[in-house]
Amino acid sequence: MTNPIRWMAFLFFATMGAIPVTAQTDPEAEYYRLVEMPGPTGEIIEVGGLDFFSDGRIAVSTRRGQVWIVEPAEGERAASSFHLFAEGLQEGLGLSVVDDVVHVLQRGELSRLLDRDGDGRCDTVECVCDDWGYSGNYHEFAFGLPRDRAGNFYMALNVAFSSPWWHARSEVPYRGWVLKVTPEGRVEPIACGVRSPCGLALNEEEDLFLSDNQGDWVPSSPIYHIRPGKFYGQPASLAWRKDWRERHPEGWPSFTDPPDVERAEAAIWIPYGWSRSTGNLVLDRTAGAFGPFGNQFFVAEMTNGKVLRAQLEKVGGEYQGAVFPFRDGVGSALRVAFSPEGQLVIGRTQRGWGGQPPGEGLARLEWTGVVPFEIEAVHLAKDGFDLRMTLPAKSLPDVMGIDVLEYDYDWWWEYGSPEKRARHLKVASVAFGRTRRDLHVAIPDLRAGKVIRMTLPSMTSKTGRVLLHPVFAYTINRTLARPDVRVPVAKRVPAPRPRERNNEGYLYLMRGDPKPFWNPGGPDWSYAPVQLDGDDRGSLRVGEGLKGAPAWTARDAPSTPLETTLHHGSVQCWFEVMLAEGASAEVLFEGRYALRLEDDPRRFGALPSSDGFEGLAPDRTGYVGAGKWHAFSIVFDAPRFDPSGRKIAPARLARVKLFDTLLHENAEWPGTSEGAVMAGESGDGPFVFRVLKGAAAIRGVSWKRVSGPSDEKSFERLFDGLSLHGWDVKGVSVEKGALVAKGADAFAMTRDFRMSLGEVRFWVKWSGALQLDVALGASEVEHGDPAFSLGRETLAGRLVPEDMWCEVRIRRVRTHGGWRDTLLLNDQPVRSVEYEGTPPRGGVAFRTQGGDGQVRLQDLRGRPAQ
Amino acid sequence: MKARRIVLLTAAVVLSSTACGKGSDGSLLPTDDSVTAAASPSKPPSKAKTPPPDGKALFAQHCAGCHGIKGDGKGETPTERPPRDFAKGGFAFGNSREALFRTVSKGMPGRSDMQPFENRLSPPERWAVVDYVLTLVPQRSQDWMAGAEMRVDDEARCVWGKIPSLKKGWPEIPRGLVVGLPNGITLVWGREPAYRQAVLRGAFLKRSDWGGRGGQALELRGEVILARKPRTASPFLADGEPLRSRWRSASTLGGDRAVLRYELLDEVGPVASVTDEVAPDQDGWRRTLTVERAPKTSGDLVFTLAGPQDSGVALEREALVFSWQGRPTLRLSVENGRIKKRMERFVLPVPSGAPSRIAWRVQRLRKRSDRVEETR
Repeated sequence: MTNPIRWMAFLFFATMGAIPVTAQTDPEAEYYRLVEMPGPTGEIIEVGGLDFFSDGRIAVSTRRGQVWIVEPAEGERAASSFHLFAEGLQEGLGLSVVDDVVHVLQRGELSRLLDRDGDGRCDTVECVCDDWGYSGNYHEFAFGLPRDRAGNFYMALNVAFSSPWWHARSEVPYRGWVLKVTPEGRVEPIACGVRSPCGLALNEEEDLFLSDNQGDWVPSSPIYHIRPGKFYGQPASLAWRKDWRERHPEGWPSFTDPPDVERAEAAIWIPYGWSRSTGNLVLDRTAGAFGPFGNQFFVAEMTNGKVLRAQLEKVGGEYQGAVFPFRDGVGSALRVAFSPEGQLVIGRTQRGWGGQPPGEGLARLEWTGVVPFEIEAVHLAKDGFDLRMTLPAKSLPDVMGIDVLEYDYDWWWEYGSPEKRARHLKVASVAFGRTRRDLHVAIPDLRAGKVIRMTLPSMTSKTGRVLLHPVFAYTINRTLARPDVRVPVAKRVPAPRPRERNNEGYLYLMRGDPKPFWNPGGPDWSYAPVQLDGDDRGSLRVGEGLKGAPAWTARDAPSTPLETTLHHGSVQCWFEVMLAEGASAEVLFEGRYALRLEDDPRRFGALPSSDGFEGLAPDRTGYVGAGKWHAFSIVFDAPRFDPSGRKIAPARLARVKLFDTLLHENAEWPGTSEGAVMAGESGDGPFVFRVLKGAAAIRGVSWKRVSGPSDEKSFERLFDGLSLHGWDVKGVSVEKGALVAKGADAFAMTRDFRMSLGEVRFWVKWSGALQLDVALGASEVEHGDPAFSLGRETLAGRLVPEDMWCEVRIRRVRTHGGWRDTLLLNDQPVRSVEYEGTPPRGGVAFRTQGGDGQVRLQDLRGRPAQ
Repeated sequence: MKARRIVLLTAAVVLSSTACGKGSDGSLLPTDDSVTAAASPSKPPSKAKTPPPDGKALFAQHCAGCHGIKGDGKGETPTERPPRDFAKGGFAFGNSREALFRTVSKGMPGRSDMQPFENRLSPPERWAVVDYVLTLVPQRSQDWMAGAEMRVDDEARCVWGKIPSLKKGWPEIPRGLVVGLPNGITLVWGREPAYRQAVLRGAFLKRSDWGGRGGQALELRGEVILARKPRTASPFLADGEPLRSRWRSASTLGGDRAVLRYELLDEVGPVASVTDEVAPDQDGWRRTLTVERAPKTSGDLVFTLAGPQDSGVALEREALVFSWQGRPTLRLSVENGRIKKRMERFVLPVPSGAPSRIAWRVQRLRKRSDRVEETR
C-alpha cells in the first residue's frame, strides 16, 4: 500500500517542482525577494521582450507571438492583471515602448503596434523596418531592442544552424551581425562575428553591449562592447563584410579554419558553470532603489536559472571587468528589465532551449532594503586587484584561503571550449585599503589574456553578515603595466578534427551482450527488459516478453554491487534508472562516491551523508515516480592529487541533470561514501550500481572520458589526408581526407615510419562486418601479427557503434621479459595483452578481413618510444 | 518625366475603376495615423467582506438573454450578429480573466450588440460573472500546445509567420502574412513580392511555429482552393519590369475585413502605394486594390490583369467564378485534374492625381458544402 504521507510529499514536489528545494534556506532571499507575477490560468507566457509604459505597466512580447500588457500589483505573490494586446506575431524576442507605443521585433520585421480604435487591442501593425535576411532557418532569431537617446533601435541577428548543428551559417545578409535601425527605419549594420546574440544593452554613455551564447568559435558566454566595424570571432557573418567578400569573391567562411581577420575581445567572459545560455543584460539606473550596485549590469541566465551581475571598468581605454553570481533559483531568465520603481522584472522562456524551471512567466526581484555583504566591485591594480566591498569587513581574509584560478580558452569551431591552461596563482598578501570596505589582494603574476576566478574564504562584515557570494571572474585583456597591449583570452589554436556526430567520443557499455564490460556481484542480477509490476508496485517484473532495451535489474535488496570491468576517471556519463515503489539504490562513481536514488523526490539524486559529511540534497527535484525511467546526464570530476599523493581537489559532480532539470552543480564529496567498494581515494575506479532497498534497474550506461591535456604535438603525422605517399597499399583509396578500405584483403603499411615500442593513434569508422587488424612493427603486410582488431564483431564494436568516428590509440611498452600492448578507445583503456620476447621493429600496418563493409581511417599519427 | 506603366498580374480577371465599380466603400482606408495608447485594464477586485456575488445568477439575469442560459449564443433576444458560443472558446477581446472583465465592463462599442455593464454591475459582480463565464469555456490544459489552435470569429485576424509549402515541391515562405476572414476564407501573402500567394477554405490555422526550438511553419488548416506558384515574377510591372514591394502595415480595423498596405518600387524608388483590402463575401471573398501613385510620378499609369499562364495560378479542388459588377466574368474549374479556364487581359488607365480602385468578388461556382467548415 502506498504511504499517503510520502505520496502527498510527492504531489507537493510534483506540483511545486518549479520551486527550488533549497528555497526555505535561500540566503539570497533576505536581500533580494523573488515575487512571482502569475499570468492568466492556462496561458503559457514565454517572454521574449519586456519594457514599460510611462504609467508603469509592463509590455511583454512572447515567443508565441503575443504581446501582453501587465498591470503589476503589490504584494508577495502579485496578482497582476494580464491583458492580451496582440497575438499572431512571428515571435517577439525584443520589445521597446516608445512614447507609450509598443514596438516589437518579430523574426522578420520591426513592428509598431497600434490600437487605433482605442479598445485596448492592437488593430494595426506597421512595419518600421524589415530590411534584413531571413532564410527560414529555425534558429534565425532576431533579438533586441534597446533604443538610444536619438531614437535608434539596436538589434542583433542569430546565425542559422542546420546539419551539423554545431556549424553556424550566415546564408542571408546580416546573420551574425549587430544592426542599428534609425527612427526612419533604415538599417545600418554595425559589427559582425556574433553567434546567438540574445541580449543588447546601452550603458549611461550609450556604449553598446551584447551578451552572446557559447558555441562554435565562442568558447564561453561573453559580454562584448560592440564597436563599429569590429569582428567578434564567429566567422559565419564575415560573408557580408565588404573587405572579406572582396578577398573571397566566391567563397564562404570556413566552418573549421580560423579566419584571417582581426578579432575584437570580449569585455567579460562568463564562466561556463555560471552561464550556458545568457539572456539579455540591463544597466542598473535605479539610483539605489535596487541596492548598492548602481551603474552595473544585471544579466539574465536561462540554463542555470540565475541572474548574474557584471561590472566594467576601462583599462587602456577599453572595457573589461568582472562578473559575479547575484541571484539563483529565478527560473529560465531570458529577459531582465528595471521597472520605474527599481524592481528587476524577470521574463522567462525555456521551451526547447533547455532552461531551469519555471520556464515561463514573469517574476520580479525586489530589494528588501538590507545591504548584503558582497564584493561590490573589482578593479585591476598594478599588482593584483582592489576589491570594494558593500560593507566594512570584520577582519582580513586569510591569504592562504584565497583561491585564484587563472585560465583562458581555445578559439575554435568546436562547441565551446573548456577552461584551458588553468593554474592557481599565489596570493602574496591581502590588506585593507583606505577603509575596511577596500581590500587589496596582491597577486604578483597577473597576465593579460587570462580570466581570473577568485574565491575568497568565508568572511563576515563588521555587522556580522556572511559574505554572500565570495567569488568573481575578471577578464584581463590588458594589464595596467602594459595597457596598450591587448591579448585575447580566446586563443587561436590549430583546428581540432572535424566532428560528424554529436555523440562521438562516447563508449556504450550496454549494447548487446554485456558480459565483457559488467561484473554482477552475484546471481541476483538479471539482464533483460524490465517494468514495474502492476500487481505489486514495490517490485519489478523482468522478462523477455517485455518491451524496451535490456537493463540490469536486482529484485532483492540489498543487492551485490554491479560493477563495470572498465574503470573511469573524469567522465561525462549517461544512464537511466528505474525504481520500484519504496526502493533505494545508489550509483557509486569510481566505486567510491555515491549518488543516492530513492523513491522520494527529495532523496532522488542526493549525495548521502557519511562520516564527517552531512550529505547534500539535490537543488531541485526532477523525479517522476516509480516505474519510470529517469535519464541522467552527469559530469563527474575525479579527485586530483599532487605528485606527493596529497589530494588537491575532491571528487565532485560538476553537473547532474535529470532530464532537463539541473539537480547539482559542483557538488563535492569530501571523502569516499559509506559502502564504497574501492579502498582509499584515487583518480579511477569502476562504475557501480547497487540496490539498497526494494528493487531497481539501470540501463543505457555510456560515458565519454574527459581528456587531460593533449600531447599530440609529439606525434608524427603518418598520412597527410591527400596522398598515399610513404605507404604500401593494396585496395585502399583516399576520400575526403580519409584512408578508405572497402571489402576484405585491403592493406596499407607505412614504408618510412618504423617503430618497435611507442604509440599509434588514429580515428576510425567502420561499417558492415568488415574487420580491421592493426599491426605494429610489421615488416611485411602479410605477416604482421595484429596487435588488435577493430570492427563490428570485435570488442571495440561492442563499445562503439558502426558509422561513428572513434579515436584509437595503441600503446606498446616494454615489460620485464617482453612487451605489453594496450588498446584505448576514445581515451579509455579497454584491453591489454602481454607478450614475451623482443618486440618486432617495422611499420604500422592495417589489413581488412571478413565480410562486406568499409573502414575509414583519419588523422593517423605515430610516436616511436625514445 | 518618363511615362510609367504598371502591370498587375493576378488570378482574378475582373476589374473596375473607382468610377464604375462598386468596390470598397472607402471607409476602410486608413484615416489618421494618430496613436492611441492601450487602455488600462481594470484592476482585479479587492477582497470583499460581504458574501461574494453569485455569478451564475447574475449571468442568468443580465447575460442569458442574448448569450443563452448555457452560454451557447442562443438567447431569445435578437441581435445583429449571433453571440459567441462560449463552449467553442475564444473571445474577441482576449481570453484572460482580466480581458473578459474589461469586455463585460466596456462592452464592444461599434463592434457588436455587447453592452457595457460597468454602470449596471459592481466590480465584484462583474468579476463573478467573468468567473462564471470561464466555467462555460473549454478548460485549457497546461499542455504546451494549449492555445496553439487559432480561430476566426467575428473579426478578421492577421497572423505573421512562415508559410508552409502549399504544394509538393513548392518552397516555404519565411515571411508570410495570413489573413483569416470570418466566413472561413483564409488568404496568404508572401512579402517579396507582396501578392496573394494562396486562398484556403476551412478552419484557420494552428500556431505551432513556436514549438520545439521555434521557427517552424504555421499549420494552415483549410484546404487550398487557389494558389499562385511561388517565385514567379512579381505581379506588379512597370514598363514591363517587375516591381519590388515593401510592406507597410496590416490592419484589422474594419471588423470582418483586413487591410494591407505595401509600396511598389522600381530601381528609382516608390512607384505607387497599394491598399489591399479583403473582406468576406458570402462563401467567397471580395478584394479591392486601391492604387495610388507616388508623388512626383507622372505620365500614364496602366494596370493590367493577366491570366494564369503568366502568373502561375494553380486552382485546387473547387470551381470558382470571378465576377465584376454582379456579372460572372470568369470561370475556373478543374476537369480531369486539369484547370479549365478562360483568361483575358484588362488594362486600366489610372488618371493622374486620384487613387484608382480595382475590385473583384470570387464565389464558388457550385456549392460543395462537404468541403466547407463553417466558422459561424
